Amino acid sequence: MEQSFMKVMRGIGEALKLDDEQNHQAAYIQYVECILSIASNLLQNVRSNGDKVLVTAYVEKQIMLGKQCMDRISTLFHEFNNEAEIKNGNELEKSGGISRFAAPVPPLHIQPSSSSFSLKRNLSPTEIAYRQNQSLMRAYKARLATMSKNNPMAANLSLTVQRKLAENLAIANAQERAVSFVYENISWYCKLSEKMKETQRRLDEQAARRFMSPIGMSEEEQEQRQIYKKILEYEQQAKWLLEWRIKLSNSPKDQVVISQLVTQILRCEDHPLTKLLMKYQYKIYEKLYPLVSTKMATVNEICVPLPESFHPKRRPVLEESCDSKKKNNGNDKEDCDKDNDKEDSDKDNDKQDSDKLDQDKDNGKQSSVNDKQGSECLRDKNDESCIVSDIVNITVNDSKNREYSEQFVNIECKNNVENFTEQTITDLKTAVDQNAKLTEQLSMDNKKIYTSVRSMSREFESYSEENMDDLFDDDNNDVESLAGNKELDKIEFNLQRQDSEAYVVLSSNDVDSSSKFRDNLYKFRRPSEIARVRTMSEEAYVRHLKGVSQDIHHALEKLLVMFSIGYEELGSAEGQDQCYASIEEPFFKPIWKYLLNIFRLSNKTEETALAYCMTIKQGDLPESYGVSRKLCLVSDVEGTLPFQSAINEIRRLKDHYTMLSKLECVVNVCRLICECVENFYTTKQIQDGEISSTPCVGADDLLPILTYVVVKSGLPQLLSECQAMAEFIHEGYIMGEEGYCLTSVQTAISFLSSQEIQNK
Amino acid sequence: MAGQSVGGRNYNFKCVLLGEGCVGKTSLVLRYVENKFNDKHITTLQASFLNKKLNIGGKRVNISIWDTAGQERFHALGPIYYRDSNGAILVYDITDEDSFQKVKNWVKELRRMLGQDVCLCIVGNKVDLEKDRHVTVAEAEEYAASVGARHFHTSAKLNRGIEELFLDLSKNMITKADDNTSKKSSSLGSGAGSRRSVIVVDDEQPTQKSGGCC
Repeated sequence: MEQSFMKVMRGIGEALKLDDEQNHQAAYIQYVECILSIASNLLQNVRSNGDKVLVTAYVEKQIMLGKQCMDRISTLFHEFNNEAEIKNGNELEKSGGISRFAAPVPPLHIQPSSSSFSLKRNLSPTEIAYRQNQSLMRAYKARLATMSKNNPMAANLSLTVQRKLAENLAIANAQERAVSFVYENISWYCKLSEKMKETQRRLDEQAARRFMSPIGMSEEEQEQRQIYKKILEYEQQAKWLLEWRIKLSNSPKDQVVISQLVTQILRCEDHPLTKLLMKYQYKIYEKLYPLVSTKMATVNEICVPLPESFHPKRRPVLEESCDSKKKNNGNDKEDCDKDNDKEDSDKDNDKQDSDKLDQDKDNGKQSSVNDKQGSECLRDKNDESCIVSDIVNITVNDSKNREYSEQFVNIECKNNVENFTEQTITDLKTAVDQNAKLTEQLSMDNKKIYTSVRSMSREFESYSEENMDDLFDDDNNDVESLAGNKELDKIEFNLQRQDSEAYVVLSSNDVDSSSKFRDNLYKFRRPSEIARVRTMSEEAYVRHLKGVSQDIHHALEKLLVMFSIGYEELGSAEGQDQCYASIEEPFFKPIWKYLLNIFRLSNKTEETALAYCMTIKQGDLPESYGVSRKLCLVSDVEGTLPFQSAINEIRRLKDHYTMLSKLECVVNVCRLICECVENFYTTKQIQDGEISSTPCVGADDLLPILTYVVVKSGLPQLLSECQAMAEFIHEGYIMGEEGYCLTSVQTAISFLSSQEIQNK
Repeated sequence: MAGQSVGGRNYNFKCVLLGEGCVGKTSLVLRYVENKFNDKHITTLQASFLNKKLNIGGKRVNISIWDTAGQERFHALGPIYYRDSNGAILVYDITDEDSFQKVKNWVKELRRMLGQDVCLCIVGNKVDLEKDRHVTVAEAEEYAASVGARHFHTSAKLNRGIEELFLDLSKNMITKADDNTSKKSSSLGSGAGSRRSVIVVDDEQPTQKSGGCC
């Protein structure tokens, strides 16, 4: 009995040692082994006594020990779990669009720059002593545990430890006294703390003065006051910030001082203003991450050269079960054949018009837009993951769609019928009939999807039940399948609720069930639905983007207000501008990747068109964009293009993180275009030996050249980049050269993308 | 600092330059800002965006002139250029009837998009080619009056009428801006925050202005 108990004790001692060394994995195993041997000891004990529980000190002790071991491993387990979650999040980001987990938002990684630091208060001597004593106690307990109680050494040891503890405290107290004496010339520590309280009061008053009316303050004002107080408090500890305050008040309009001050403040990780910035930043990030994390890969597919599957199809072959659709298809085909034939264009237009009408009648405006894009969607046919994810969205959006279509059918019918000629009226009548059929079909499909998802979730549940034993063996699996169940419930719930923007996320960890799910859903894959879903999801992204943009504006505004409260001088117009410029980088840099992606998701159609345009025009020279002949430069250096330096510059746009530096880049592109012209003519003059005039670059030439440069950049994301710039740039820049250059680049981009969309 | 801004305020105007290709928009504005004409100058510069600072009766005015592309294919993308403009210069070539028709289209569009807040100037360029004139003076001036726009004849080549054009336009824009501010302050009362009042006397005028347009 005693022997086995000793063994357990040794084991525990070892485990404690491992735990102290931060070797959690090994410690965990050791603890579990201890529990095991305790359990077997106890069992043996009971069995050897003829299945009767003996109440002895040993038994009690062992139970206690076992309990403590159990507690410790549960803490360790939670730690592991946390680590695993973080890792999981990172993997998720990499794997991209295929898996759809309920993505946990991983912590935002802000690369700490070498210059950043935080002002950590040093521990006071008493605190250090307290910690030392704690560790001493732990060691003592561990050692005591290894000894048997009868051992006379135990009492001895306890005495030693007590003495040591007392000694530690005494030393600490002495130190404390000495420190307080040195620092403040006050011999008693309590006096120091009193003084601190006084300072607090003074700061409070100061903060109150800054906010004129202490009564009737709104919550926001109170919060601002709190932060202001914290800023003053912080400056009490970091005296060098006070020096900056003086510098600023000496030269309140000096841009360099302002930007340096702001940078200095934001370098302190625990400065109240920095904390505020990070708080807002994280809020926005939390919103962005779940929206874009799984879609990163989809967005990256839109690049130059554009993958074949994304190319717009001139001859759409729609898989339609409905006859009317087939007829429409026929027309489409004809249209395409005659696309380039100008003579027939009138006739074609008529047909297109009637097509359009048909479609308008079909399911209201919503679906007509979608139908037109049916072809575009088909090119994803092979892209399983894409379709699966889209179809998942169907379940969400369909209910909403039904409402739309009903509404529009009513409105369209009333408004239009009277205005058309007899011919059109008959067309309309057939269209109405077709529409009725289609609506029927649509509602049937909706039902099918509804039931399929329901049965799906039932299957999933039963599957989980069947496999319950397996799942219990693996903790992780269990948790995830439960999550999956919940998500499926969510789908059902959404279908019932009829309105839904909720993010449906599926666990596809369980390969078996997810493939079943996929098979079921494939039965209902209809191009028009996919198209509708696509437009709807793009619209949803536009809405999300709007919300996020508002949040960002709001956050930046609040930060500016807080800075000008903290430093009165920053309230001036120059101060605000400079302050904004300095906040930009720390604010946007960590979240830019996600922000750009939501812009790109909401512009997917346009960007695809732009990418296609870029792909087919890659080889074109300035001549093909209508640049006047004298400005069609010829590159004399082998391997470089005309306007190469401007092209290089615009490619660098994506490497900038702040709106200001991006804007600067855009201005540089325009300037470089002029520089290229100038260099070209200077060389020419030297070569020819004659003084010919250098043409100036007006907008008539700048825009076509810019169009050429944009195509050569091969970056469809420019569209979103420019949109983001226009959204977040300080309005002061919009009027100036910066605004002009941005507008020009935007015009060139939308010229390209709209051309492609029109062609379709 | 405070002493300087007493009596005068800074104005910041955006002025958009519209007209068909080849009517000489760029030459016109280059002549005005740089006093250079295409035939003579040698260095290239960014001729599509130009800034001109003026002092009119103690009022400091900064005009940003935005050139636009005249090609028809860019026409649909015009609004992004002329939004928030305080003034527009619509240039036609007196030897080209078509370019005058284009001006009429622009006027309609600008009035539709920007309303009465924008000052319009219709400019018949290339008066040095008087003998080839296809748009009569009477016709042009009558039309301008009918749409509430000013009319000028210029020659970028001979540097004729350009100073007058910009001076008149600037004065017009100042009057309009003052009108708007007084209207605004009467409607808003003294409710403007302290920070805003700083801006009115200082450089940030455009932000206020542009807000007033919409």
